Order: sequence, then C-alpha cells, then structure tokens
Amino acid sequence: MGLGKELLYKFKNRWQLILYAEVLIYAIGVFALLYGVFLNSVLAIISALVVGVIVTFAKQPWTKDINTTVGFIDANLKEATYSSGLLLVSDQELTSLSKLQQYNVSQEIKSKLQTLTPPNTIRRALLVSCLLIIIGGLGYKTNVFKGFSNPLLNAKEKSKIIFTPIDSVSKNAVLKPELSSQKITIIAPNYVRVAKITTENPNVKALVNSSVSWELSFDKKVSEVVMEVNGKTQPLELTEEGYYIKLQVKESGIYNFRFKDLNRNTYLSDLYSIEAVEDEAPKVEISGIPQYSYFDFGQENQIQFTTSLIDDYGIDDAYIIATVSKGTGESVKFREEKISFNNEIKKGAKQLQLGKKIRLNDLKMEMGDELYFYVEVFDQKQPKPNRSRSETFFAVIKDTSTNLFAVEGALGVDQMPDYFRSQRQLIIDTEKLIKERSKLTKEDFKFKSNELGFDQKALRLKYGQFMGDESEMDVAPNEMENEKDHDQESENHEDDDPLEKYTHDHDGANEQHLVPEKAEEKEDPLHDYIHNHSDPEEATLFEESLKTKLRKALNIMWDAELHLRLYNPEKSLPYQYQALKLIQEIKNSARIYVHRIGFDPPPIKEDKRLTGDIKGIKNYQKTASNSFEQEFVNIRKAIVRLDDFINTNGNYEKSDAILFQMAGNELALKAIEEPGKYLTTLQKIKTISENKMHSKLEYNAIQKVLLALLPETEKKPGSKQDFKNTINSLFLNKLTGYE
Amino acid sequence: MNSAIVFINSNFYPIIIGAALLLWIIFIWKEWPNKDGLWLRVLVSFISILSLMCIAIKPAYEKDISEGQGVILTDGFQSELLDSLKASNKEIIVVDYNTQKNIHQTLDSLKSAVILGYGVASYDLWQFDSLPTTYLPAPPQDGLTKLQYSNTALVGEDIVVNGEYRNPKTGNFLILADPGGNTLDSLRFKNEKIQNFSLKSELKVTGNLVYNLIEKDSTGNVFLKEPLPVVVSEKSALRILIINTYPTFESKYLKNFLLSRGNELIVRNQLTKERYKFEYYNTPKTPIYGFTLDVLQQFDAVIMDVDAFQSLSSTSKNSLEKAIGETGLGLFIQPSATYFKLPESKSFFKFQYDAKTKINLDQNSSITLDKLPYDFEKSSNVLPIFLHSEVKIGATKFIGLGKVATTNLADTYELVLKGEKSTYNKIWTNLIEAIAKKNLANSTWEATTAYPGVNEPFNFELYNSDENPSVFTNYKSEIPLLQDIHVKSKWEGVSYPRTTGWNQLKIESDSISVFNYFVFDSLQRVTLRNHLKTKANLNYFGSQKLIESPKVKRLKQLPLVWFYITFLLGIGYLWLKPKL
Repeated sequence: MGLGKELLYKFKNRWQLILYAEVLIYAIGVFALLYGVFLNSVLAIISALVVGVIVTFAKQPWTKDINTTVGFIDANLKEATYSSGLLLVSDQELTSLSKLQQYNVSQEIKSKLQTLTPPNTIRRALLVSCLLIIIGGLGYKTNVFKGFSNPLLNAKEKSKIIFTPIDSVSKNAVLKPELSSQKITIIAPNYVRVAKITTENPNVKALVNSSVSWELSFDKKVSEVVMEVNGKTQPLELTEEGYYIKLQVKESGIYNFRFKDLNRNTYLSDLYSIEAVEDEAPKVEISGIPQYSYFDFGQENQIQFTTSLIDDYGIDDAYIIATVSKGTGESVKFREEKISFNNEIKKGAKQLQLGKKIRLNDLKMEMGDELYFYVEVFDQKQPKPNRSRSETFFAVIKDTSTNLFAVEGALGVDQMPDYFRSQRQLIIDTEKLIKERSKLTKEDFKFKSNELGFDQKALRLKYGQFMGDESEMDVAPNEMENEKDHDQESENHEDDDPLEKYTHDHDGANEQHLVPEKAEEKEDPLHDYIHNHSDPEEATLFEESLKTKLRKALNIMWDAELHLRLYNPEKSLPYQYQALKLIQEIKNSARIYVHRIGFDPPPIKEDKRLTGDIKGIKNYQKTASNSFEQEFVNIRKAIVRLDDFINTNGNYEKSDAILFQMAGNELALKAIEEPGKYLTTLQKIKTISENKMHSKLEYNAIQKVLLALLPETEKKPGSKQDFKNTINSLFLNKLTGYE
Repeated sequence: MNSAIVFINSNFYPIIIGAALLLWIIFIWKEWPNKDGLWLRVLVSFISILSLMCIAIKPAYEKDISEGQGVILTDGFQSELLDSLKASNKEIIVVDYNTQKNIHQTLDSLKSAVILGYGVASYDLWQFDSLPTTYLPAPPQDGLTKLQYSNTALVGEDIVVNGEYRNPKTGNFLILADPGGNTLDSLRFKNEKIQNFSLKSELKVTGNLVYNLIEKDSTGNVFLKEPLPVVVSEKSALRILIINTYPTFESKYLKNFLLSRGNELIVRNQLTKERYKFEYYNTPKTPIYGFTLDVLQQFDAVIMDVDAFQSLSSTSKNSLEKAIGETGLGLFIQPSATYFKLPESKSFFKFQYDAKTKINLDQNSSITLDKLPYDFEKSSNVLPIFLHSEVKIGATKFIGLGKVATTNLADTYELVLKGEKSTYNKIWTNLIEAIAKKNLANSTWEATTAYPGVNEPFNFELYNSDENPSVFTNYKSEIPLLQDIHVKSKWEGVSYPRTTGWNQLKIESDSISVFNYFVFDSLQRVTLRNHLKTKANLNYFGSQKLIESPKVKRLKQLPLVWFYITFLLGIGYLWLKPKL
C-alpha cells in the first residue's frame, strides 16, 4: 500500500475520531450537569448515554468512509488536484501517467494534509459542555437545586433517626453521642414466606404479626436506651453490635427512642410511624353456572362450575358448603355437607382455579329438593385465618307431583269443590279415558271428554283469578248460548251440536249460577296511559316473568280444553302436560325457605288469670353507672395549660408532664390517621412532656392545632350557677303571687 | 385695679436695703476725688444698685383677675377649642391630664375647670366634686364603640359577640378567633356609617381563655386586636327523678341520653298496683314511693308523664309544689294528647289549638318531627324554650324559685332512629336545662368596672352570705369590703390589679370561689373606654354651659429681667465712662 493511501486512511480515522469525541464531550457535559443538580449518578449516566446516542445518530461518524474522505480532500485541498482518489488504486491498475500523478499527489498532500482539519463542531461542543459543567458545578456547590431532587432517591438522608437533646444544656456539644448505625429488620410471619427485609428507614410498614427489630449503635457510650411505642416504654437490650429491640407488629402506631449520655443528658428522637398492614381476606368467584338452576326429575341433574380464588399471601383451604333442603312448609329439613373440589388445593398458592361437578343424585336429592351451596376459602394467616365465602347458588330438582291446588287457607277443612281438579288429576283422567275408550260407548266417551273439558275450564278460570281474569267468567258461556246465539266460547262447539241433548250443559248452567251478570264495561280511553292499580291484571302481584308464565299456562289450558271438547283427548294430553310443567315452575319459583324462629311464651296459668292477685309480684330494682367525659379531655386540658404558659408565664409543673403525655397519646390517634397534619405538633407536645420549654410562638402554634382538631362539644344538660339572692327570691315569689 | 407694691422676699429687705446703701456710700466715697460728671455717676450708680436690690427682694403688685380657670386636656381634645378658650382668658391654666396623673393639687388652686376631650377617668371624677366644671366632649371616636358578650359561660355554649363599629373601612374583615388563632367566625365590613355585628362560636374548652376579635384587611394586616376573656366552666351533673306509669320509647331514649351524660338518675316505672320497677343510675338504691320535701330536695329535676302526675296523692302533690316553689326544683311533664285538654290549674299552662302536627327543626326543613297540635299561650311568667332562635320546642313557667316545663313535641326518640342524634341531644339539653335547679353557689362575684386596667381601681360586688367575708387578691393582700345597707349579702370592694391578663380574687373561707377577671393593656379597649368615659363625664358634669370663675385678687410679680437690664446698662456706663 502506498504512502498516500495510508495518509488518506489516517485522515479518515481522524475525522471519525473527532466526531466521536464530540459525542463524548456532549455526554460528559450532560452528565456533569445532571449530577451536579440532582446528585444522582444513575440518572446522570442514563441521561448522558441517551444524549450520546442521539448525538451519535445526528453526527453519523460511520458515514465518513474513505470515499467521503477522498471527496472532501478533493474539494478542499487544491494540491490534491482532484486526484486523491488515485491514491486508493493499486499501482498495477494504473497507467504510467496515472502513476506519475499518484506519486505527485501523494507527495503534495503529505505535508498539506496535516493542516487540513475535517469539518467538525467540536468547539461548539466544548463550549456547550463547559457551560453545562459550570452549571452543574455551581449546583453541586450551592445546592440550589435541592428542591428539585426526588425525595425517594435520597431517602437515605432522611431516614436517619435524629436525636435531639431535651435539656438545652448541651454546652459541650462535642460530647453529644451520635447514632453511628441503625438497622431495622422486618420479618414477616412464617406463613407469608417472604424473606426478611433489612432497611434503614425508620418509618416501618409491615404485615400484622410481623416481628420488627431495631438495632442502634452509637459512637459514644450511652445508657438507658428505651423505645416508646404508643405510650408504652420498652428498654433496648445491649448486645455486642449495639442496642437491640424486637417487637411484634399488632397495630399501627408511632414510636420514638430516648437515651441518656454519660452526663445524664436525655436525648429524644423524632417520631416515626409503624404501619400495620392487614392480611386481606381471599377473594372467591364462582363462574360457569347461573345462580339458579332447575332440573326436571329424571333429567341428568348435575352442575358444573369453576371457582377462582385469589389471596394476597396464599390460600390454605377451600371447600364447598352444600345445604340440601327437603320438604315444604313446616316439615322442611336441612342437611349440610362439606364437599371438596375435584382438584387438590395447593397450599400457599396465591391464585387457584378449581373445578367441581356435583351430581345431585349423589347428594340423595329427590324431587322437590333444593340445593344451596357456596364456596368457603381460608388463607394461611395465623393464628386465625381470614375466611371469605362466595355468593350462594341454588339448584332445584323440580317437583311435579305436588301440584295441589288448595283454597283451604288456614282452615282445617278442605272446602275445595271437587270439580276443581288438579292439572295432574286431569292428565290422569284423560289418560284413563283414552285407555278405556274402547270399552265405552261413543256417547259416554264424548260425555266424559266434555266433562274433562269442563274441569279443565274450571281450573283455567281458577288460575285466571290470579291474573284478575274475572272478565273471562263473564265472557264465558252465558245466556247468549241459551238464546242459541253465537258466542265466542260456543264457537268451540258446533252450533247445532247434535250431542247437545246428550250432554249435560255444565257450562251455561253452572256459570249462570256462579257469576251474576255484569254489564260490559265501557272501554276507558285513558287505559293505555295510566298505571291502573285497581286493575288486577296490571297490578304488580307477581314479578313480570311469573305473570307471562301464568298467561302462557292459561293459553295452553285453552288448547287442552278445546281438544277435550272436540273429543280428542289424545290431542289434548300434550297441552295438559305443558300446562302442568308451567304451573309447577310457577309454584316452585314462589317458594322461599326460612329457618323457623319463634317465641315460645310460657304457659299461662289459667287459674291465676284475671284474679288480681299480685302476691308473687315484687318490685324490680336495677342499678348501673356511667360516667361522661368529653372527647379528647386531655387535649382540652392541655389547651388551657398552654394558655397559662403563653399569657401568664405559668411555670412548668410536674403534673404537666403527665398531662401533655396523655394529650400526646390522644393526639397520636389522630396523627395515625393524618400524620402530615399532626405529626410535628405531636412531636412538640412530646418534648413539652419531657420538660423542654418552647417559645410562646410555638406554644401558640400547638394550641392552634389542638383547638382546630376539637370536634363539636357533646351536648349535655347541666345546672347553671346561681346565687341565692334574697331580692331575687322575693321577686320570683311575688311573680307567682300576682299571676 | 393696681394697688401698692409689695415685696415677695420681704423677710430680708432691711439687710438688703442696708447692704445697698452701704454699697452706694462706698461707691460715692471712691468716686468723690473725680469731680467730673460726678452727679451723673452717682445717679447712675443709684439706679443700678436699686435694680440689683429689686432683683433680690422681688417686688410685686396685687391684681384683680378672673383667676383659677383651668382647662384640663384629656385624650382626643380639639386644639381649636383650646385656642378659643385661651383667647377668651389669657390667664387660663392648662393642665394635661395624661402627664399629670395626680391633679389633686392643681385642682385645688382652680376655681373653675373646663374638661376637653374624652374626659377624665371615672375614678377621678370625684376630684371635681367641689369645682364648678364644664365638660366639652370630643366627637365620638371611629372604631369599636360597643362590644357585648358574656364573659362567663358553660362549656358547649356559644360565645356570641355583638357590637357596633363606627365608620369601618369597607372590605376589612372582622374575625372572631380562638386562643390559638383559628378563625371561628367572620364578617366583612360594608360601606356603612355604623356597622352592627354579631359573631359566634361554640366554646369547647373549660378554663380561663382569651378569644380575640381581630380586624384585618384582605392582605392580612391587623388593625385591631381586642382580647375577649371568657371564663368557661364545666356543667355539673344533674340528679333527676323520672316517674312513669308505664315504660315508653320516649322515656327509654331520654333515660339513655341522660345516663350517657353522666347524670344521676332514678327511674320509676309502675309494674302493677303498688309494684314498681326502679332503676338507679350513678346513685345508690333508694326506692321512692311518695314525695316528701326531703326526698324531692335531693333532686334537680323531676320528669313525670301526665298520668303519673295526675295520679299523685294530694300530699305528694303538695310536697312537689312546695319543693318547686321553695327549693327551686324543676318539673318536666311528658305530655300526652289528654294533657293539652286539662284546665290550667292542673296542667300549669294554657294551650291553644294550632292544628299543626309537624314541626321543622332546622332552617331548610330537612329534619321534621311530629308535634301535638297545640301551642302555648303567652303569659307573663311563661317563657318559651327554643331549640335555636326560630324553633320553639316547649315552654317553662316560673313557680316561686322553681320552674315547670313541658313540650309539644311528640316522639322525639325518632330523631335518634333517623340518625339525628345531635338534634335530639340539643332538644333535651335545652328542655332539661330550662327547668333544672340552679346550682346555688356560696358566693357570686360581679365586676362593676367595665375595663379594668393596671394600677387602676377595679370595683367589684360580692354576694356572700357569710357573716364577714374577707377577700384577698392574688398578691395575698386583703381588700376591705363594704356591706350593702339593704341587702346583707351584698358586699363591695376595690382592688388595684398590678398586672395585665388574668387576676384573681379569693375568699378566705371558700377556696372554691375564685373570681377571675381580666385586666386590659392600655392599648386594648381604647375606643370603648373613651366612649364609656365620655358617657360617664357627661353624666357627671351634665350641662355644657361654660362656667366663668369669679374674679380674684392675686399678687403679680414684676418681671425681674427689666431690673437686670437696667443694672447691666448702668454698670456698663460706669465702667465705660472713664475709658472714653
């Protein structure tokens, strides 16, 4: 390779190097600025890298390859005479003239190339960078940007436990013992399976029942190191490493430390919080089935569902509690069973999906029985696990056998007329009629079929009453039929029914006796616009679905009756079954089970009744006591005491220590709820209770906070002060006298 | 007018004349050899020595002048008035009341006086007793001119500050602040010549507290800060007897409420004939059947339903009425519909049918309660009981020292069920307090000086039934008391507080009865004090007609400076003449 080529490559490298240097300079500038401002190396490095990458892409040093270099040299160096490209070509490929030129150029640029600088903005970069570094440096020195700093990132500074001497006698401040190290270890309860946490942050947040230990060591010898938690004082043990205390977190609270140095000066730390976090109860959700499921008897009756369980620290156990209810009314019986899931429960899992298939037959459920079930879950919390349960789901095997219609109400005698047959009875009778058809005469058959038709109608009308279908009774057979006129009802019959003389006309006769005639009501033009409660059809007696079901059943009964009247019991039968099913559903859906509760009165002694004998009755005497104190009674007292300090230069007395300590305890309750508002005041009250005096201004500030937190006074009737004044008494007596 | 010359230093004048004569003879003897202009020098020397002698013996003459008229300048005097007074009487003596506190001697020399400004302090008024005095008041001062609030209260009551502000600055705020400085209530001044104000807040703390009335502008500059000292005391628990013929929810909730407030309670419900259920709360078992004065005296209030009250035996009824009238017992009757139809002799009250069966208990009528459709007829000794300013919840009637009350509300316990517990508490607190026997203290105090100041007399009255009470200040000095001639239990005294802020007066025999009073700084209550002073001065001096003092003869000294100048000129001449 020729000398010239080497020069060109050198130039190219130099060019690239300069550009990369520019990138580096920018990056350094940014780093210096951010570090100076935020004192945070991580943030600064990341930002510097990002800026570096951006600048690199803007400058694109890699594009400055040898061809660009040749172009640049040709353009900027006269001596290159636009032939620096020749330097790259190997000797073999060149003509002799070219070789000459190549040699020429290489000689010329050898010296000139040193003076040529690749295009760059390195000076600008240096300037910008210098500026950034200066700003950063200033920031570092003066700390003016402290306000910008992220409190989380320098939490370490804050987290140091600060001790202040209570007595302001610290003349020899040099001797003040300093905290050399603090270590707080939080060990969560075993079941949580969380590694222990070691921190320096004195504001502790831990799960209930965690044990938290503090280890403090001091640079000088101290004594009587105690911890004050929620008003109680507990001494710290002296170990080799320092002072040590271990507590179990039961509730949220506030604590501080206190110690004495060798000169018996007492030092008190700031207040810090312990936040007890509750282990939450697990969450359960059942999916895959509706809340109510119904099964016909004989149908494959099984329910299948999945349950999803979530807990924050782990599930211990879960099962299904199923209750089967049998019987109706007073004879209802309940049986409870605990059913486990198909899958095994992985103890300690935070999330589980469990499936279960329950066969109702396995629970020995019969027709009409109902199953209520829910899922119960426990987590691993110790000593007492959290428990939660799902919603209750229902599964019912429909009962079709007890479709009895009763009007007896509360009477002992069943007064239901015998022609009110149940739908089931009608079905049985219809089936019997079909079976016996061959044995019966045609007339008998038709007569019986018509009879059944009438029963069907009676049943329909009876159910119709629930819907308020009184009008149907009116519209039903009637005198028109007697007048041999056409009639809606009689359309079912053939007008000139040849069987008329054979049949016993229940319809007309009966109904004529049953229901007096009613004049046809005029149609109310407002009918569609009002919610008419007096109309039983509109009345919200049943919920909507029930009403439509009943209406549907009635319509089906119409069909059943039609076919019976047409002497087609076979055709009628499916309709009757349909009606039966619907009626059964209606009945079941309105059934509610209630555990029986009640009051059993003692038996009445009939011989004592109304005799007026009160010999056995004694006076009854009862005593109780209750004292009343306004809320925050010590805070109230402390406010008045502070007033003494402020206005009358009251001197600190021994009783004040107790008063302010108790007021502090009351305030601590508030401070746990709203630490931001009350913590500094609590701190100051604490120091007052330690006999450390404050300025009047500070007392006033404390008093202000305390007064503001007082709730409205509880109203209490009391007696007012007065003096027995003879003149007043005379006046009042006269006042009554002149009345 | 002019009369003979007299000499003030007359005691020495033979010596002085002798000395002067001697001096003159020596001079003549010395000058004798030089005869040139000798007589002139002798004359000049005579005049000079005479002048010197006059300086020593101070010649004076008697003069008739309208003597002894003084003008006493107090705060706020108008200089124009002073100037016109001076013009009419050149000899008028000007006395500055503020710098010369002890004006007694000055006043003695005066024959008449004119007081300008807001007037002299009321405790100095007596000094003008024998002096014809005219008071020319200054125009009323701007600022706080009236301030009224109760400086003793029970905890839970409101502090209500009413007052009047003359020529307020529009847009400024008047604030009621608690001792800590929290704003409790405030108003903004409108463009009015005289602004009346009323601020209020609940008193939550027991003790001697200093609330403040502060005037601020919108930027927070404080223009006025008046302390409002209040002595807040705890309410003492009551001893109450409840007699019911049968238990009701109303009684049960009332009982629970009274018990929850720590009162002593005996509740009696009838079980059947002559059989009762007794409940004793915070009190030992002492069953009560019939009423006697002794039994009833132990109680502060008796609460009875109408049936129980009606079925009282006549002896019990007499005892009850006697206890009410003589011991100040309170009786509360729990009404039923029949009660309102009873004649006044049986029900204590006259009722009017008002057909209203509902009552709104608050302004926006969100809390309503059933009411019996009757209202109380007004009468001279019947006072309505209010829930707050608008809502009447009952009435009380004075019977001797005691009171009887009832309500026309029905089923107040429903308020508790509705969650309006605080309204329920307030209703029953007001109803019971309206009748409860007053806690008769052994002694009561009253300040007659409105705004006590340091080293100023503080007048007080003491009601004490002791034979001879002795009162001490907080510096342990005893204060002599003056007994009222008509009311034997009334005593008066004067104290001179030494410090601002709270001061105490104590009775030796009664350690409980301490009278706390607040002594104001000289910068506090300025306008109010001046207002009061003007009033007191006007009352005292009455008419504003200027009183001329009688003409009096008085010695008037000849000004000595003239003698001095004459002497100087004479001596100068004698010294200069030989040199020329």
